[in-house]
Amino acid sequence: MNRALIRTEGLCKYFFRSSGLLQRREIVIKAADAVDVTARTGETLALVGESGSGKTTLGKTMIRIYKPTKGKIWFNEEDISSIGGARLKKHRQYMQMVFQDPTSALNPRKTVVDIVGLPLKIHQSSSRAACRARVRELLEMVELPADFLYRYPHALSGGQKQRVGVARALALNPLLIVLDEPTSALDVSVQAKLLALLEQLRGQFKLTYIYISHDLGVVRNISDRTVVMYLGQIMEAAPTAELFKQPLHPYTKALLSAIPIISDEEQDIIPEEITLNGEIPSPLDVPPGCRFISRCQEKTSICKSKEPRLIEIDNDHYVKCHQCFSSSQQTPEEVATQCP
Amino acid sequence: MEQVLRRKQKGNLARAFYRFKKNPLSLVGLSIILVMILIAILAPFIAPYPGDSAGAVHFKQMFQPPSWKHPFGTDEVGRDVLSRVIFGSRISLMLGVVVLFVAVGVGLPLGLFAGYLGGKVESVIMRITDIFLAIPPLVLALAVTAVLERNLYNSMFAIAFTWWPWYTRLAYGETLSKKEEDFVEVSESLGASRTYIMFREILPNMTSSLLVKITLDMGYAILVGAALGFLGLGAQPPTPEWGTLVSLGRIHLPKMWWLSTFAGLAIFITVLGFNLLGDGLRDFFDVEVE
Repeated sequence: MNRALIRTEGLCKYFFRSSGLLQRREIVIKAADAVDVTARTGETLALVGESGSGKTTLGKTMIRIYKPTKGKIWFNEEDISSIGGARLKKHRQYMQMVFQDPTSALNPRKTVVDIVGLPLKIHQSSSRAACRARVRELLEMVELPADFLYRYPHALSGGQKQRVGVARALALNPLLIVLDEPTSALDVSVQAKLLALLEQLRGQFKLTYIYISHDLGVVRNISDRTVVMYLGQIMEAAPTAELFKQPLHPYTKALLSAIPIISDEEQDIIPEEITLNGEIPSPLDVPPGCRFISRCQEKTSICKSKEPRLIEIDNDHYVKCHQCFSSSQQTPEEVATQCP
Repeated sequence: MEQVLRRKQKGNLARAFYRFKKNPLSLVGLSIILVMILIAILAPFIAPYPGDSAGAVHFKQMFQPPSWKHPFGTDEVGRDVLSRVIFGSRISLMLGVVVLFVAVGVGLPLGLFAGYLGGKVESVIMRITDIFLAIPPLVLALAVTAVLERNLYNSMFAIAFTWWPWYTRLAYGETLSKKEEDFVEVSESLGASRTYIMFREILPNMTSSLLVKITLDMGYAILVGAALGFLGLGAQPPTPEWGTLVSLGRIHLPKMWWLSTFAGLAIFITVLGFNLLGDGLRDFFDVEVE
């Protein structure tokens, strides 16, 4: 098993609203609430969950696009959760992000050479010629023709824009890239090509990916481990193959049952259909006890009174549910300090 | 090869001009403005009696109606009205340019700071802006000119003083919407400076709305300048400012109609030109957004 490249301990990101004349701060949304998660060097870690589960916020907080409210982030053995200035800048070149909406991620008033060259300008103060040469190299890596150099984003297709975004993320030879639903805005045929490219780049440059998605079909194919999030917390985390073979948390089961079935082979993996009732509750109003209780079909009295802990139930398989322990007859072994 | 690629971008400009041309009214506006600018630059050469722009006096030919010799007639001291209106274009255009230069120069950065930095900076800047916007611009300009010495430069200052909050508001609104875009977040996560993000990432994205507003405002600023001149608070005689000319001719209406009419027409045409051009630009940029 590879060593941890990035590891969080009790990472929290709350969003505040100041109200009234006195500018009193009140917590509005706990988008990430005491999350322990680890991405190991060279792996693809998938974060899955519904909209509003806090997966994007967690990804952005991990690489310090957002400042964490509480908790620690260990990146390359250094705690980056509260550093700033030059020290943070040094780490930033190793942590990049590819955004969900490729149109919003590229400044419409800049040409491709300026967009992709920006990281070089900021971190290496490269000369214009050196910058241009490197951008050309990067465009080649993401399989875009060199004459895109002076194009504006509006002259590119969605897939091409996303490739430009990937090129920019690669510019500084990063170790970690957070991919925030990189394919969700693209056509299916383009999606497959982009995923293949990302896979190839990961092997070529020994990258670590944090892949945020709600497309479980894709996650199953590309990720090594999967973390299921609900209302800002981890519900279940396991190696992807195991998670799909033996989902334990009722929420995971429900998510898996929602994957459209195409082949017979998939039929075996996917559990019987479970329909989730209602919407994800507002993060403003998290239910006491287990936060999944309002939609859970396996709930009992204990779920209401006591919040379950995230427990390692099997090798590298963590779950946060009371029912899983009673059903599997295991003694809950609390592993609060260990991370999934 | 680089040259070839750059030339491709120029093709975009040509296409933009083509789209602009499709709206005939904006082309009319553009022509009016270009002619005005030419007249202003060449005033000493095309005015039939350049000396009449200042305090020349020819009592023998006072109050002559329009004729071949004096197409716009002559005024109460016998000066050629056409020459004075031609020289007036210099003053009005300069007033518009100076006022907007100052208003944009002051208002725009304030709006960017307020929108991007937020917090206390935002509260302070936007509350001051609100106070300014609560007072009708002409009234505020009147108050300022009333305090200061009455001349052209103080009237420019007074108008700019009332005008900057509009640009603060515009830049503030645009910044608020643009700073939510992911490309701003990318720059932040790369460690770009705030100045870079405000002026190099956000500002270029508001040029189109800025350009439209500046063009439309040129007309309004000239109008307000003329109004101040008309009220005797702007340029003082014998400066051939259009508003002042209308005001001076007013007492001789309706018999000596040519004194006020031609200066008034000049104001009308110039403001119309800027409005047509501004509307045309707005349509043009709307298309681009699609």
